[in-house]
Amino acid sequence: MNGKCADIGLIQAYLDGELGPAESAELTAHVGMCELCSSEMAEAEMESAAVFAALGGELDALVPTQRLWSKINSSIEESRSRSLLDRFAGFISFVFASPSLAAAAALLLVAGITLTFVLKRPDAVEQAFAPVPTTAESDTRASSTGDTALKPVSTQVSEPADTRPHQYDAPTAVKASFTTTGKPPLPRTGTPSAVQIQATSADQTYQRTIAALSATAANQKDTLFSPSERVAFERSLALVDDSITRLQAAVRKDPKNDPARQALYANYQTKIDLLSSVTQKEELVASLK
Amino acid sequence: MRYRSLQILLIAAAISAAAATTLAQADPKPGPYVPKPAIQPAPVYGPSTSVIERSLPVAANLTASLCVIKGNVHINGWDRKEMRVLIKDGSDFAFRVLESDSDGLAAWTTLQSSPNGPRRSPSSDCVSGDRIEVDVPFGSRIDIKGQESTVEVDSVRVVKISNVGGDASIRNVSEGVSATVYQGDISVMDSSGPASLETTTGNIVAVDLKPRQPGENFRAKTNNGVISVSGLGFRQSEISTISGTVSYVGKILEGGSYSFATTSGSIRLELPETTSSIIAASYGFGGFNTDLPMKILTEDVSPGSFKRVTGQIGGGGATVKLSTTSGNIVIKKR
Repeated sequence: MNGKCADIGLIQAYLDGELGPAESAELTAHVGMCELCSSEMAEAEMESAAVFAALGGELDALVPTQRLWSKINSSIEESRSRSLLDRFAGFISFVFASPSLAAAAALLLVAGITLTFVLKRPDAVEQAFAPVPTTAESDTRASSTGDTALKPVSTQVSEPADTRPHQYDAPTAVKASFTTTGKPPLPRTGTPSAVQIQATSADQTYQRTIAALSATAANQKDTLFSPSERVAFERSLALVDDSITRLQAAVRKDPKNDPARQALYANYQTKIDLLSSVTQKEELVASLK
Repeated sequence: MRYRSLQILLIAAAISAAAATTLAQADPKPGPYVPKPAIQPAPVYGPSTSVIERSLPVAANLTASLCVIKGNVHINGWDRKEMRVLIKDGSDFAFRVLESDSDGLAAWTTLQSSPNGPRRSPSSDCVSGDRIEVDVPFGSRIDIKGQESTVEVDSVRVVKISNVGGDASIRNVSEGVSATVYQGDISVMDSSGPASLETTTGNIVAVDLKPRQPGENFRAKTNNGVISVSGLGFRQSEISTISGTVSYVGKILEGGSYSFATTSGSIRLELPETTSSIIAASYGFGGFNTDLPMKILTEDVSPGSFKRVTGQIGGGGATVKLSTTSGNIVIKKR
């Protein structure tokens, strides 16, 4: 996505929580650095907020969410996977609930057993039943061969590929193409050029701290942040990273440039504060539960 | 052979009839198999149009802790030794006294959601409501944690706010303000005491704040947003944002230490002509401009490098550090 603006559909899909983790991460990283996409996302989010505010609780009650669809789908899958034995047990219990149905079943059973004995006699087959031709048009369950017309036909109706009444279609925006704005993204730290800098011990201490906090923040931010917060976070992170990269270059060029070094350390601290804010927010949220 | 078959048939029929009778007696009307609904209906916490109001005799220097899941919170100081809470369309609540003073009045109390409330959150003791009004003595210390709430505080002694989302508006606080908001604006007016204002995404506005005692600090920080400060009476101030503009209108006090920083954004100061300060400005991509006469002490503004300018305005009685990586630094005459 680098260097290309995200389609509005993709942004909307992100706001609706429909993108996967990898796509979300890629999008937020891009939006964090792209003014155009950032403003588009803010606009889309405001529109969504306006719609949700207008519909209020009715929307919550009437419109199935992705989680609800998941439950529906899993329920359908569960019912599909019910064993044939369970279905048979259900049928038996239904039949034996009524004495008349039970009697009918007993008669059927008797008739079936009688028929079995009779059909076991080779000479009786031709006398009892002549082959009955069937056609696919008249009975689609019948076999195409006439000599097996009385064989039990499987009642297991082959189900269509997907009978879910409201199969959730992933928005096509996920696969949307991107247009080039010609605005290159800002460089990020972690690139070889940034790492190659001759770091002082202070640098190394800062960078170790940042690395540890980054790993923690990466695990937490997806669950803690709303879409707009996450974009804002990624944007701030990108800005600080860009500033660090530039200041590292300035210090490397002139190691005696104390203001640049102080500004570099200040930016390290800013990044530490930024990453720490994720944990702090998690603590606050946890304290409210 | 045929008699043998008939015997078997009769036995099978008898077994079937016996089974049918047994099942019919066990469950007279079991009905056909009906799958259980996969989705349970959502619990209903409302509807409610209720107003619940309670009060409690409290000490003049009360400490009140509130935890608010959702709602518009209005806290006002009054000249009575009483705490009154009104929640409209929200959870029922109860006072929980943690400490009492020598007169038996509540010195530290907290609000707790009551299980009878129509909209009680199922997993929290925090209260919620469309409107939450709290009146406390002027000398109270208020500690609020909020998840999704706008908070307005007026005329109390100390305020501490930690809010996940929502704006915070504070005024007339006499002994200190601490506000941390993760998504929302913070505005503080006409207050004294140490001030720490921090928001992750949002703007900060501070007007007419001053220390109550010497040595107290003012700190304002946002990651994404504008910081606007005017009429500040602190000698030690630290104002920073990652993405946004910093605006400061007011005096630079003698002997003070001021720090203004932004990573991506401009810094704009409007200072009186009588300002006396050492100015240390550093900037990467942008410019530095001052309307006030400044004597350059050191300067390195060679193209491509991280630029730095140190100068003296007036007698140089204070220190002002200005830092931006991408943005302009402007000092205007007020």
